Amino acid sequence: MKRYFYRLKILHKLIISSFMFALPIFILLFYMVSGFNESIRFTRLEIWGCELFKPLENISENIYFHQFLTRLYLKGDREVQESITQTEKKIEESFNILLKEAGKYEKALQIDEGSLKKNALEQNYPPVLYSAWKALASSWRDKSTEINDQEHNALIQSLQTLIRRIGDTSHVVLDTDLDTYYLIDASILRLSKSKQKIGEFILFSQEMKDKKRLTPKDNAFILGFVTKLEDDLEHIREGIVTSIREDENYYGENPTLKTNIMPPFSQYQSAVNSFSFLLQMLVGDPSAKISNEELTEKGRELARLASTLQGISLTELQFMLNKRLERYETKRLIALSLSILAIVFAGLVVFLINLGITRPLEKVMNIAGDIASGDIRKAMEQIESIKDVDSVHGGQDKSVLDESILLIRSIKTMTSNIISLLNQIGRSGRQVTDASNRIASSAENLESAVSEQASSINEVSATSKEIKATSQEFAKTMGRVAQMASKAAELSRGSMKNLSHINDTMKNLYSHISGSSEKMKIVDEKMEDVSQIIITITKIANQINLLSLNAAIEAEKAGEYGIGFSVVAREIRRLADQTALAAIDIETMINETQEAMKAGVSAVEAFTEQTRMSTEKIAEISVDLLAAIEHTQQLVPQFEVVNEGMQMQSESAAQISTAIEQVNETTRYTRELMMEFKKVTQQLNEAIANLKDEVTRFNIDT
Amino acid sequence: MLFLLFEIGKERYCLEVSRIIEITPVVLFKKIPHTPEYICGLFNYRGNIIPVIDLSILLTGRPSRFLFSTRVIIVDYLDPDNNHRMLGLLAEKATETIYCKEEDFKPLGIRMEGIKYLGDITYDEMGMIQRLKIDELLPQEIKAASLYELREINE
Repeated sequence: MKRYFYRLKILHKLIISSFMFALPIFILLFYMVSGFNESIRFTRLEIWGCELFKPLENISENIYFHQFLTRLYLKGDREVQESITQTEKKIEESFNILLKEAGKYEKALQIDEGSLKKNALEQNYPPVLYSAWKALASSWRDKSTEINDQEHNALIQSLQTLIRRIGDTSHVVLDTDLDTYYLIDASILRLSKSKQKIGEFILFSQEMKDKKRLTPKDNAFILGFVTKLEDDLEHIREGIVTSIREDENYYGENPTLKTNIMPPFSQYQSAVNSFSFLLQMLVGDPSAKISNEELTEKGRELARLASTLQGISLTELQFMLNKRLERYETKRLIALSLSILAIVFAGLVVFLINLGITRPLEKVMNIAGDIASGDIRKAMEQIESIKDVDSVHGGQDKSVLDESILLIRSIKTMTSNIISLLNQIGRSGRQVTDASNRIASSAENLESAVSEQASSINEVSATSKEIKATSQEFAKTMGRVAQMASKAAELSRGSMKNLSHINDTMKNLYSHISGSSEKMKIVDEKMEDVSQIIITITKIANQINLLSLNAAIEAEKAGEYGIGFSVVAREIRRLADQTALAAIDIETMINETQEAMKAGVSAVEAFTEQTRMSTEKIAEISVDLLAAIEHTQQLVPQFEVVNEGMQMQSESAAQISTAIEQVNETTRYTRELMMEFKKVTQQLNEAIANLKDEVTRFNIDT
Repeated sequence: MLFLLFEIGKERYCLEVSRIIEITPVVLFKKIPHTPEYICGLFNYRGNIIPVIDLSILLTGRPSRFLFSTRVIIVDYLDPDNNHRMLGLLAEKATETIYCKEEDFKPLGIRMEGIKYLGDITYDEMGMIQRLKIDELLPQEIKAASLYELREINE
């Protein structure tokens, strides 16, 4: 049940609660309307009853008259035939009205056949009464006065019973309002009784016609009748007065009541007074002469007035009842419409409340949905689009705000907090990414550095190994050098003799070379002479050329005379030129030879000098060699010392190599650690990337 | 027309023989202080003291080599006052002559401002030969004033 209730929307919940509230209201409304309806029905019944009273009263009044007329007719008074027919016609008409009205209201007034049978009143059913009347009307001529009287009385009795029945069922006697109650009491009940009495009295007066004198019994009857009549009159008067007095207290004053009812009442009152006076006089003074006809006439007049009064009273009564009915219906209408209006208004209020709750809720839901789907920018836009968040209801006074607006404000604050949080996360993520990238690059650098270190260490290790090997080898080599040094010491002693031979040879070589140098110098001098000769030749050729040129110039100046001479001059010049060219060629050769010679001389001189120096040096060397041999012999034991030192160095190198191995191991370990560190950094990077992805799901570009 | 050929640097030049008085071997010149470098000095030509210009220095800035073929060409020089004067020109390889007509020379095609002594071009089987204008050889600032003075003294 609880779970089912939670599943309902707010609107449904509101509707349910509204229905729960509305239910007692509806029940109360139902009872109220029922009360109104009851009153209306009550009044209607009274009205319908009045409708039926009219024809019934008419019938009953006319039947008395009919009875009266039939007596006359049966006594032989044929003049009344027309009156009888008229009366019968009136009765017929009244019966038609009665049957018509009764047909309409018989169920409501419980005068239908079934209801009457239940109360053993079936002979009072209007159609039955009508058929009884039909039978009476068609058969009275053939019957005696007594039987006719009996039948008439029975019919009147039945009519009276029906009137009483209708009076009961139409609740006229139970009328709630004072004015109508008294009016009913006066004009219907009392007046009806009076009319009956008057009817009876008319019949009585008709009976008295045949008598000469009034018996005491007759007197008593007359006095009783008068008393009754006056008593009723008093009642009626009181009733009418009370009704008129009270009238204004019930649904306003009925202006026609007083004006319409008072004149016939006054007439009736005066008629009753005069009639009672007449009768009292008749009883009190036997000598008084009052004809039966006059009496009957007066009685009939009285009956007519009574009928008029009753008719007017009934009309007024109906008018008042209708007014009451109208008032009740108006009240019911007002009550109903007010109630329905109130319910509709309440429904509207519920709807508005629902809107007031669900709309902001929907907005908040949309915003929350946007936030959930990551589109915070859209959510922010939606929040911004709700204008009345800040502006309407102005101020920050929370007590005057709708909770929904407070909710949206809170959502707004929350969203902006989320945005700033996301921004913060984004920034932090970027910072962390940068940091981790830096860490990663540092780690890579470090790793490469470690790798380099490792390789360097490897190199060092290899180098130290090499040093070890080299120093071992060096030690061996030193050993051999020491051996060879001792051998060299021996050999050098043998070399000493050979050196002195070389020295002698070199001295011979020197003397030979000195000789050739001198010869070269002589050649050089000869070449100088040749050169001089050639220069001389060239000079001569040159001078010839110059001469021939000048000759040519002169010949030119001489014009035509010099042509021949100029040719000779040209020839001479050509010869001179050839000579000069030859001389120049020889000069060139001589120069080259001379330079070669000079080079050769200087080379020989240099060689001579070198040979001389070599000879001297060889002499020096042999002295030095002797010393060296002695030194070498002394060196041998020192070589052995060096050899031992080298071996120690070799061992040290081996120790270094071992230490380096250890360092290498450590470096490898460091490198592994670095790899591990790199992995961790990558994991950190991935985590940050995931975080970034998560954050980028939220669109916070504003 | 007969032209005397000579060389300055590696290039061949020529002078019209009609203006040449004589070609003499090189002797020692008397140096004149405060004169431009291309003026080698004074030369005693048959009792006449004449100035000698080293064409190699004038044209290339490098002094003439002392070869057998390096000679002094004594020319007839026309000073601005149209007086005939003698001038010595030092040149290498002054050993050959060549016959040319005036129309064999072609214009140089370019002209240098201030350098007026470079004349037209002719050629033979050995290559191109440029003619030097004797009267324009001495620059304007030197003029023949000093030479003229010398001449006056000599006379």
